[in-house]
Amino acid sequence: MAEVQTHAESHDEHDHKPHGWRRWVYSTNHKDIGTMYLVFACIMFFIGGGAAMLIRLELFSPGLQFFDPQFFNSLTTMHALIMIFGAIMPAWTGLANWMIPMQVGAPDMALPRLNNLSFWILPFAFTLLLASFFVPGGAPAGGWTMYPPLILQTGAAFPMLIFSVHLMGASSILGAINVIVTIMNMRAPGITLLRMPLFVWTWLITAYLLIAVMPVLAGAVTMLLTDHFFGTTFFTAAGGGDPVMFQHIFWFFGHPEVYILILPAFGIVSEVIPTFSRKPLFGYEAMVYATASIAFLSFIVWAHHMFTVGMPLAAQLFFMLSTMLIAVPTGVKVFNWTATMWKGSLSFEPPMLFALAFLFLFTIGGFSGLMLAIVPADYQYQDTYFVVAHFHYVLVPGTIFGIMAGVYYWLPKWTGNMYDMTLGKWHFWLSAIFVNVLFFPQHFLGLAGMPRRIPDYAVQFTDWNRVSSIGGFGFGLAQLLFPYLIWKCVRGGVPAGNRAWEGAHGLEWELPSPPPFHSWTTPPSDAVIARGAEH
Amino acid sequence: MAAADLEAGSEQRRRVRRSALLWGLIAAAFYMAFIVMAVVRGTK
Repeated sequence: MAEVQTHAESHDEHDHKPHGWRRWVYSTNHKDIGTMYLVFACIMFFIGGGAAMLIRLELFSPGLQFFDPQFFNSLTTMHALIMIFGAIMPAWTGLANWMIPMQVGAPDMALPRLNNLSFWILPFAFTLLLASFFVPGGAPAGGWTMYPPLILQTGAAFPMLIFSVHLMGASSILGAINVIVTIMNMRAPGITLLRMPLFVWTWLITAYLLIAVMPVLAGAVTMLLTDHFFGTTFFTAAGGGDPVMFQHIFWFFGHPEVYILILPAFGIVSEVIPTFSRKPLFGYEAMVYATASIAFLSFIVWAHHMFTVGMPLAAQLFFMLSTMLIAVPTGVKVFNWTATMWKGSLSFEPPMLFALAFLFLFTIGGFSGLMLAIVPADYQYQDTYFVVAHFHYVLVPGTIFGIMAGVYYWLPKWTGNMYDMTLGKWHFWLSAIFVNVLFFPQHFLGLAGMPRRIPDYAVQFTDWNRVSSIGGFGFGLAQLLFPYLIWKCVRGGVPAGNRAWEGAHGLEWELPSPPPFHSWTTPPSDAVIARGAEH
Repeated sequence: MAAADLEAGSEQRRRVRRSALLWGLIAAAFYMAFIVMAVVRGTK
């Protein structure tokens, strides 16, 4: 056995990885592909964030300041598409690539070449999408929801939009297949399903969601394409089609998509809070079942996005109540995270700070979601800034803070260096303050009746829009600290040690920091698994 | 021992291929099913 390990170690030292550009273009290594996903997501985060800054710049004052309304609508559409499909989803896939094999004791993902393909589809998809800014008619401006008949008025960018959405979907499906196959087939002996870390569990459930709903989005946009170019009338009322059917199909994809964006954050918070509370996670199995329940419920709530299109009273009641039901498993999670901290020995390093902010602010987003679930109230809130405030609370201090918590948690493992803790805390506090300055006033604007997706507004909305814009600029600038901190950490720092955080448990912490190019070339022993599997 | 390891390795590869194919087919079925559903609904 000792000989085997010696051989494995020497193999790791001379790991035969290709050098230069070939290492990245031809990569089949889960860590390299994970890094590429994360770098790509970071670039897209700043491009999508740049669009958000321009939106807030235009909305700083009433009247048209800088952009014509068509371009403004392109900015909102592209901001959403880039952030959802280009920043958040690739960031999760990057984290999955890095961590899942290390956490389940596998040497790599099950399908490494497919993994390479999944990643390299993305730069083509987003080059195509971003290039649409420069074609006649400009970038798509019909909203990320692509509702017909409006979206069918898109100019030359229309086929670019459809093809890029297909590519993004293909990439996500291939990535999801890889995650499921890896988790179900590559776990080290002894890692039973209920010994898996919560991040692996939440990603497994997310992958099932992806396989179920990304093809539905692909089907919907294929039908848009044939309506536009091949004379079909799936969604064209003049030919007997039904535009509302598109909304049903889209939101059958769209609502589980929300959970695709948030479930891995639940996993990360479930890793971070126990570590920095120095206590095992409270109610591990309940967390697993709550995640599965949320995923199931996500399939039967879609029409709450479209109460105002008109539907039978029974349907309205069903979708209202099923939506409210999601609060139950979500409440279980919030309770368990809080109970984990109860009487814990807490410390407040950046991952914990981001996880705590997630806990508070995601809950605010959840509560405003409950308000939106109430049909008569939704009739008032529909298409106002209240909705914008709601989903940004879920997606920014929810999902984005979850990603930040994950990166701050595992960065010392990835690089072998501890990062600049002070800078990390600055990043957190600036982000946490400005994100509230940015999004909280949007609740007031929405309740006062300001509609979304408009470049101009009535003067009574000026003050809160200015506050929101100042928050937006502050939040955007604060994010520049993040890549700087990472770059600094990659270049050097205090050695992090194998177990970078005192209270950390999990197989990844049994590996050296940084881990060798090929980790777990021999499966972890029972003793290592037992040590790592303490939740 | 080595032969058993090889056998286990090839069995794992078979399982990986089978489950990847299965999930790929499920994804393709969802894609087709929703288009077929829309066609059927449109021709009613």
